[in-house]
Order: sequence, then C-alpha cells, then structure tokens
Amino acid sequence: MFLIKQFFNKYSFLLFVFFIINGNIFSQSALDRVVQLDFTTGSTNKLLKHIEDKSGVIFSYTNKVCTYKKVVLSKSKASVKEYLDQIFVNCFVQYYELNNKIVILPIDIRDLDYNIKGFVKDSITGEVLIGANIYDINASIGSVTNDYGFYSFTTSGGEVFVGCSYIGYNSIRKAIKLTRDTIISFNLAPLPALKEIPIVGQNSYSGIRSSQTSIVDVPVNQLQNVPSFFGEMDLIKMIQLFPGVKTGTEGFSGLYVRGGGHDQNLILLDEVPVYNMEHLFGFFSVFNPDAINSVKLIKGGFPAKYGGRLSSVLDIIMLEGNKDKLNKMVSLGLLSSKLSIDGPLKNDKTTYSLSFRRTFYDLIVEPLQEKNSDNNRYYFFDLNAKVNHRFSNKSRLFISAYWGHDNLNSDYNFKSISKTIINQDYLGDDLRLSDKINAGWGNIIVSTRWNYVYNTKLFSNTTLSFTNFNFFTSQDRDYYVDDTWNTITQSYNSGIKDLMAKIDFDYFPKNSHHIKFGVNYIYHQFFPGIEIVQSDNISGEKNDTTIGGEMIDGAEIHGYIQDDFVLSSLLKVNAGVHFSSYRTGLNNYFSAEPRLSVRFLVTQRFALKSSLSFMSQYVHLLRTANISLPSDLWLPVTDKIKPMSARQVSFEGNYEFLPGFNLSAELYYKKSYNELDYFESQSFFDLSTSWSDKLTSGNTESYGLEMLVQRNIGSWSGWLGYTYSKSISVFPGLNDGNPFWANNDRRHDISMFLSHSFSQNIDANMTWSFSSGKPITLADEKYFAPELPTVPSIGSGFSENFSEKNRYRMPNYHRLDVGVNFKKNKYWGKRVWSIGVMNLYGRQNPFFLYFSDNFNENTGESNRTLNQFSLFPFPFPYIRYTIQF
Amino acid sequence: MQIIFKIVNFFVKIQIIVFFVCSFISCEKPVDIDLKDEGGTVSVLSFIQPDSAFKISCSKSVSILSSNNYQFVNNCKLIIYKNNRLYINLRFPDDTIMAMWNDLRFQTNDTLVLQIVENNITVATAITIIPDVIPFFNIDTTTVFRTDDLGNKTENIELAFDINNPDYGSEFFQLVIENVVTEINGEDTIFSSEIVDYSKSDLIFYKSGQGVSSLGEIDFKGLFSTNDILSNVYRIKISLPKKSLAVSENVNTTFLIVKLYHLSDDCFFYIRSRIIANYYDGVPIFDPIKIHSNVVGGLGVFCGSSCFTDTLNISN
Repeated sequence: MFLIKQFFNKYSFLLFVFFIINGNIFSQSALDRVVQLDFTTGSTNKLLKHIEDKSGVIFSYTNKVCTYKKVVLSKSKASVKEYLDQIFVNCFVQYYELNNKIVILPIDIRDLDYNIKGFVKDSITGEVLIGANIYDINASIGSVTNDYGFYSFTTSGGEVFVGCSYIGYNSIRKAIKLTRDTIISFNLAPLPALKEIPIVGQNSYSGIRSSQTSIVDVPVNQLQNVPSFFGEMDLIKMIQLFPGVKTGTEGFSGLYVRGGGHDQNLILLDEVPVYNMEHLFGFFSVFNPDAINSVKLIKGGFPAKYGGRLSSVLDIIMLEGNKDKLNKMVSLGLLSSKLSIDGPLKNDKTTYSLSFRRTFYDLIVEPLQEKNSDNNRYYFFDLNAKVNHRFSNKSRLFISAYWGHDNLNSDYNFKSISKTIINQDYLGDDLRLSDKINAGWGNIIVSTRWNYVYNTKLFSNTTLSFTNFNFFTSQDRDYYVDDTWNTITQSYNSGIKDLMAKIDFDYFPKNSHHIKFGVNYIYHQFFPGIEIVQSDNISGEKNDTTIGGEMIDGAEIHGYIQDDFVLSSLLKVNAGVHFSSYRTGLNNYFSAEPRLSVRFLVTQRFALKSSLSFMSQYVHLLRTANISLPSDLWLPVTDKIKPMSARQVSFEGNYEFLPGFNLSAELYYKKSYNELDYFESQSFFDLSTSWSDKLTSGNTESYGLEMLVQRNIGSWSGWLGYTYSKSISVFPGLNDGNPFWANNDRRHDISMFLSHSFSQNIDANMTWSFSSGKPITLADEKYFAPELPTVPSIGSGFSENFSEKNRYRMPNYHRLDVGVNFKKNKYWGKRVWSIGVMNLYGRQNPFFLYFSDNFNENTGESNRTLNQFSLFPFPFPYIRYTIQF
Repeated sequence: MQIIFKIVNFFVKIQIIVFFVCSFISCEKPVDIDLKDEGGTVSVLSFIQPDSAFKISCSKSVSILSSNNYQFVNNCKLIIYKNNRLYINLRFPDDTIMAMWNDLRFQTNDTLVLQIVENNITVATAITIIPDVIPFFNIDTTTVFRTDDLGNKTENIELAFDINNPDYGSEFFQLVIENVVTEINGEDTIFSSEIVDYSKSDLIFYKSGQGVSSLGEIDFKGLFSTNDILSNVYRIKISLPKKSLAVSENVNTTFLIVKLYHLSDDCFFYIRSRIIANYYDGVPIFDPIKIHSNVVGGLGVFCGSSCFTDTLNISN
C-alpha cells in the first residue's frame, strides 16, 4: 500500500495530464462545437447569450473584456471558436475551457512580444543605409541594419516609440500601437553638413555598443571632400588615411593592413572578390566613388562570416538606385570624366544604377600624334551597373556588374610596303604598316543575389557570382622575308577566374541573439601565364603554338556560424567559428577558425572591447617586383606550399567624449604563419625554376597601437589618426634565418582629414599624412667580380652585397593636400567646382632609391651617391567640374 | 549646350598642359641615409678545373659608395687542404687581385679546403669538391629550315645528344657552344672563337607552366640541373641558326666546340645568381639579389668544375 501511495504521489501529475488528454480525445471540445444561429448581428453580450443558448456552452467573462454595441458575424453556422474570434477580433482576449465553461479573459498586450522588422533607406536617393540603429526608446531594445538595410527585433506590445538614427541623417521617432508583428520601414533625410545632429538621448547599437572591434565605417559621403591627384576621388587613398592602413609606395593605391601583405585583403564588391584594384599601374583604384553606397574596412576581430584572407576585409556595397526619380551626374576631370545615372525602372519595384568612367588622354593625343610615326595610347575605363527588383516585401533580387579595363598600346616600326607584295594585281601607292604592342588588364565581376525574408526571424541571401581578372600583352609584327609576307602575333595571358555560390542566413531567435550562418563554395581557375604564338603567311601556312601556363584549378569551401548575443546589459559577445578547406593533389587542407569579440559597456558612452580571430588563406600573389603590378600572378597553395594562417588579438577602448566626437584606442597583436617571399637569389623572370621552388615561407609578428579621434557631423568634421606599429618577419630561408623588419613595417603613422563647411555652397578640406620611412634592402658593399670562365660579358666588374634584408629605411613621408568645393544650385540641378593643390608645401617624398655614379669632368674625379626619385615633388593643382541634374 | 562645349574645350586644353607637366613631375636628388660603413670583407673567386693551373682572385670589398670596386688584400696567405690533408701554403701577392700557379693542379673528386689568412688571422674559409667529367654521347646533327618567331625562314643546325644521370640526383651542368673559325689572311691562319647563343627550348632549361617570356626571361647561358630527370639517360636537343655562326670570304673552317661543364652546386648557384643580379641591375623596383657564396666569413665563390668537350666540323 505504501508503494501504491508513493506511486500515486510521484506520478499524480502525469495521471492528471493523461486524463485531461483522454477527456479531450474522447469528448468534443466545447470550442469546436458547431452552432446554427438564428441571427448574426447584435451587441457582444447579445451574441454571446445567443451562442450559449444554441450550444449549451456557458461563457464566463468579466466587464474588463471589451464589448461592442454592434458586431456582425460573417456566417450563421460555425464553431464556437470561430464566433469568438470574430466577436473579439479587435480585442486582446484569451479563452479556455473549464468543465463545459468557456472562460474569456482580457490580455494585457504589454505582456506579449511582437516583432518589428523592415528596411532603412535614404529618403532622397532611396539607397539602403547599412548599420543604422533602430530601437524601442523606452525599453532600450534595438537592432542594426544589415548589409541590405534590413533589421529585425522583438519588443513588448502596446504603445511603443520606435527610433531610427544614422550618422549624418535626421533621426526619426515613430509612436505605434504594437499589437502584432509589424513592418516599419524608415526613410531618413540626410542632414546638411552645417547642421549639428541632436545626439543626446539617442541610443546607438553600432559603434560603441557593437561587439565588433577593429572596424572602420568609411564615411563615403566625405569622399568628394578628400583632395586627390587630378581631382580623381579615390576610395583606397581615403582608406589609407585611417590608422592601421599603410600605403605601399608613394602615390600608389596599395593596401597594407597591420603588417599584412597586399594579397592578404579580401576586397568584396557586392560580396564578390576583386583580385585587382588598380588602374594606371596602381596610381588609382578601380572603384568609382559615384557607384558606391557604403564601405566597411575590418582590420581584426573578424566576424565568422568572413574568411579566406589574413589581414583585412574591405566590404564595398554598390548603389542600388533611386526608386522615386531619375538622377544624372556628369563630372569632368583632368584625368577622367564620369557619367552616372540611376532611378526607377517602370515602377518603384525596380531600380537601377549605372556609372561609367573613362580617361580621355588617348583621345586627346591621337590627333596630335604624327601619322606613320611611333605613337602610344593609354586609357582606362570602368563601368558599374546594378539592378534591384523587389518582388514583394519578402523577396528582392539584385544583379550587379563591374567591368574595368586598362589598355596601353603602341604602333611603331612603320614601313612602306608595295601592295603588290600582298596583291600581285595591285597598282597604286605603297601601304604603310606598323608593328603593334597591346597590353592591358582588368576585372569583370557579375553577381546575382536574392534576398528572402522567410519570417520575422529568418532572413537569407543567396549569391551566385563570377569574377575574372586578366592581364595580357600581345605583339603583332609584319615581315616580308624571302618573297613571303608573314605576320606573327605573340600574346601572353595570365589571371584568375572564380565561380562562387553561397548562401547566408540571418536568424533573430530573440532580441538577445542574432545568429548568422552560411556556406560558400568558390571554384578557382588560375592562369599562371599562357603564351600563344600565331604565325600566318601569304602561302597560307599557319602555326599556332601554345606555350606553358597550364591552367590550375581548385576549390575553396567555407562554412560559418556566429551568434551576436547579449549576456547582460553591459556584456555583449560575438562568438563563432569559420571552417574552410582546399584540396590539392595530395593534401586536403582544412581549417577551423574560432572568432570571438567581447564588448563591456563601462558607461553609456564608454566601451571596452576585445577580440580574437584565427584566419587562413589558400591563394597568394606571386610578385613581379617590389611594387604591385598587374602582371603579378595569383596562385593557389600546393602540396609544397602550405596555406597562410594568422592569429590576432586586440583590445579596444571606445569613448564618445563629446556629442559627435569619438575616440578609440586599440592595441593589437598578430602573428602570421607560412607567409611567402622569394628566396634572396630568386626572381620572377627565372623560368628555369618552378614558381613554387622560388618561394620560401616564414612567419611575421605584428603589434601596435592605433588611435583615432573622429567627428562625422557638423560644420567641422574629419579625423585624426595615429599608429605606432612594429612588424618583424622570420624566414628560415631569408636573411640567414635572422629576424628582419617586414616589408611594410612603419613605426609611426599620422593621418589627418579636416573638412569645414563655410556655407551650403562652400567647403574647404585638407589632408595631412606622415609616415616613418619604410624598410628597404640596400646593398652596402661591393666587391670584385671578374668575368666568369663560362659566361663572358656579365656584369660591370663588381658585385653588390647587402648585409641584412630591410636593414635601412627610406626617408620619412609627409604631405599636405588642400581642396575647396564650390557648389551652386541651378534651375536644372546643381554644379560643383572642385579645385585644390596636392603636396602644398612641395615635399619630395621618396618613390624609390638608387645608386648613381657621377663623374666630375672638371676635376676628373668620380663619386657614387645614393639618390632618391620622387613623384609629384612640387605643389600640384587639380580641378574637377561636376553637374548633377 | 554651348556652355558644355566651352567647358569640354577648357578641360581639353588643361589636360594637354597637365600631361605635358606630368612628364616632368618627378625629380631626383641625393639622399642622406646612414649606410653601414661596410667593406673590408675578403672576396674570392676561383673556378677550379682538373688538370688546369690554379687561378684565384682575392681582394676585399669596399663601401657601396666608394668609387673603387675593391681593395687589395695585405699580407695574405692561402692555405689549401686536399682530401683532409694540408696540401700547400701559398702567399698571395700584394697589390694584385688575381694570381695563378701553373704547377698547382688538382684532379677530379679532390676535396679542397681553402683557408684565407690575413695578417696571421684566418678571415675566411671555403670548401669544394671537383666533380667528375660527365661525357655526352650519341650525338646527332641535322640541318633543318625553320620559320622563327620573327617570321624568317632560317637554316638551323640541330644537335641532340645523351647525357648520363646515373644517380638521379641533383647534378649541375652548363652547356656552352663555341664557334671556332679559322681564317686565312695571306699566309697567316687566324683562329677566333665566340660563344654561340642557341635556342634553349629543351625542357631541361626551363620549367613548363610559367610562360612569362613575353614579359621577360632570364637567359641562364645553358645552365641546367638534373633535379627533375627521372631516367638515367637524358637526351638534350638544341638548335642554333646557321647564319649566327661566323662566316666570311676568308673562312677556311668552322667548328663548333660543344662543352658540357659539370659544376659543383656552389659554381652553379653562384653563376645563376650573378646572371639574375645582372638582369635586375639598375632597376630599383626589384629587390637586390643575394649573390651565392660558399666562402664562410667572406664573399665570392671557391668551387670546382670539370668539362667534357667535343668538336663538330660544320664547314660543309
């Protein structure tokens, strides 16, 4: 008996549930009972009474339940539940059964959670705003828009004040009665530059409150204010003004982040990798500022979403186009001219954006060059296009494309040929023929992305893309030999092609979690240099020879999952892991890369952050020279060459010390493994050694302090950045195995950008940058080197020797650039004159160093000096004219 | 519309001026960098061949900014150990950089250690082994007409011969072809010779899969290694245009002397690095090339090589 009692005590709850369930199964629920009514219109109370009479069910409710004088039911025969749903359609009630009674209770909607989601856009251009803050003002709950301007968060029902803010835009507050999941889209109006933004009381979920570290939200709206050579606005040169980012060589658009190499940056244009970002041998970047919506540079603390490169992620999103009106812009500069157009297509569901830029130096010099004499032409162009179609509030399609090309060609060796040689029957003038050289490089990028909002908590983006970087040279020659007319074409091609498919998900299970996960497959085709020689002669004999350059293919697979979650009101964590693999002939390289970022909110305006990230990289760039050139080859890892990897930790303090003023200081430490460099006695042009045998691997340690004071709003805006850094490499095969300064080690770096709006029509801007000299390897002794017994006539009688790699430093670099924009509204739109002076005080910065032998004819003495070659050594003016209509 | 034409016209004029200025937008000036006061390192160069007189260059390096290319060694002795035994002690003459001892000859497979002593202090040492002579055999010679890359139809001499690679290991070679001409000038017969540049399209001279010759290619003057040869006999094929050989009215005979140098690894890497350094000389966008050295405490090379020679008469 005792056991039976124990059993019943222990399992009484289960028995209770069992009987309840059985009761429901074996008898029809009162709510499901179908009733035939005599009338369908009346007050709430009258209809309830009538249903009671017809169904035999008893309703129990208090006067707190809302009632109406007139309710119309849609049909005369339905279940009790259906009638109740119709009667209380505008009331918040819940009902349940109890002993053939239906209890109706009012609900306090503040106890219920509802989801708010939508998009945030610029009210004028219609472009999505990435990283905008959306928040429930009273509850201090909010979210940040993703790369598609989408946000989602959950908050309590009832009267809710929703705020939306974005730097440089007017904030918006909306009061809503939240009674169900709701879509709210915000259209923010940009602030005039002169206007101070009301900051006080505004919550921010990006910046200080974000768990992300080492990120630069590049202020794209300031791009036109940064003085630039030839007035050619350049995104990369602007990014070089931020701490932690170094330029490789004076005037070039290289990107070297925290001691990393040029090939260690993942540059994404609408989520597609860009393998070459340089026009005109690196003097300008390929990104047309007129086609850019937003730019984000991540230097460390990489979210698990990103992978495949060691040092940085540069995430560039192109403009989508205005959905309300057609915008046109024409800009004439000293180097290039631009045309941009964007607007709606047929209806507001489809928009497009189109930007074209081209240099016209070749068009100008063409008529000036003498006919039938040697002449050279150069041009570059780029075309950005994007179409965006909204199928519904849940489904959007983006198609973006980029096509950029540099071309250098030359006609030379003109000769007169009697046409009878080619055509025996011809009687007439001689024919002027020339040999031709043609060289060029460029990217083609196409991507299709489909956004789909499955529900209030799940957002996806599916991407199919193609990217192709190609470098080529070709030479056409005509010869008349032994009564035979010959033409020879020799061409060379190198490059990389990628096909990519990926899917990314954003999942918002609750406010405290934002989960992202996805997979990415990249199929690479590497072309390490293919030469084709084609000959054709009058006799019809044709030869077509392909030499070397076997195509190499490979595939990278990436997967990730990350969660950005709130542990407490002070502590926020972003944790995740990125997986990747690459298969070579014998090895299957695999990498599991943990990522972690933590934010501790000390006060509402001061946050401490820390991050840890592991990265790996399966492709690398084989350099032609010590500057970046388009002939550099992208190549994969091999069985012999292992993937590069890096680990990085950082600690950051972020303080908003005055409204609109932000101060950040960050310490970082990074160690990279299996970095590649040439052996000290090896060369790109050595074809007797396979490329993998020319390279040696080693490690690089980098650490430093980066500080940034920034103001993005108001009549005075800009930033001041300072970096103290060290990068030391150790390669067993270089420098006798001793440590040496990494190629882009620079001790101090200061960059300043200042912009002042005097009025709506005039603003003045300046940049000043200072950088310690970069390391350089210089020969420091020479010695007798006679002719070799087997190789006569080599060298000049002596050889040079360097004692240590990167032992010396180039002179320090500094430069001041100033510019003014004069804007004026016209009846047809707006015009802007941009004028300025680069290198205002004429600093001669080093481009490269070389030794020179000098002979003094008067004294008969000779001496040797180390010389510096400088580009733009004096104040260099620029002018640009832009019209918008 | 007229305004737009005016603006475009203005920009065209400005552009011409700017690009004219651009061609002068660079400048050069001496720069003051505190270069380490290098110099004074002993440098050696000696290619030792079996049964040949021992010849060596010995000098000291100077600062890169010096107008001289070397300085003399003082009170310098060369101590040579052969096959682990002290062999000879030589005094290097002062005020010279090259010395030769006619009676001092070495044989293949000799292991030589050079010790350089200056003012009674050993300043540098080097070691080398004189490699075996590796002969080539089964020589075939044919004359063919080919259309070259320039579209010229030329008469070419094609040579093919076998070399042994018995150890399948890394053996290092240089194939040099000399054109020797005898000319009759009156009653005198004059001999002259010059090295011939031949086509190095045989896969032993370059690695496939990296066709960059349109951009530039270093001519390694016939250097090759047997690193990647998996058979014990390899047939080398080369081709040279006949018209590149010296021909004149007075030419009596024309010979081709085919020399196959078997190099020690230090000889091989030294020559390679000198050629690469010479290719990049004076182009500052390339990092300086480290010239290979096997001299511990010094610079240069002390290395052995041997040579197999055959002669082809191509007068007819």
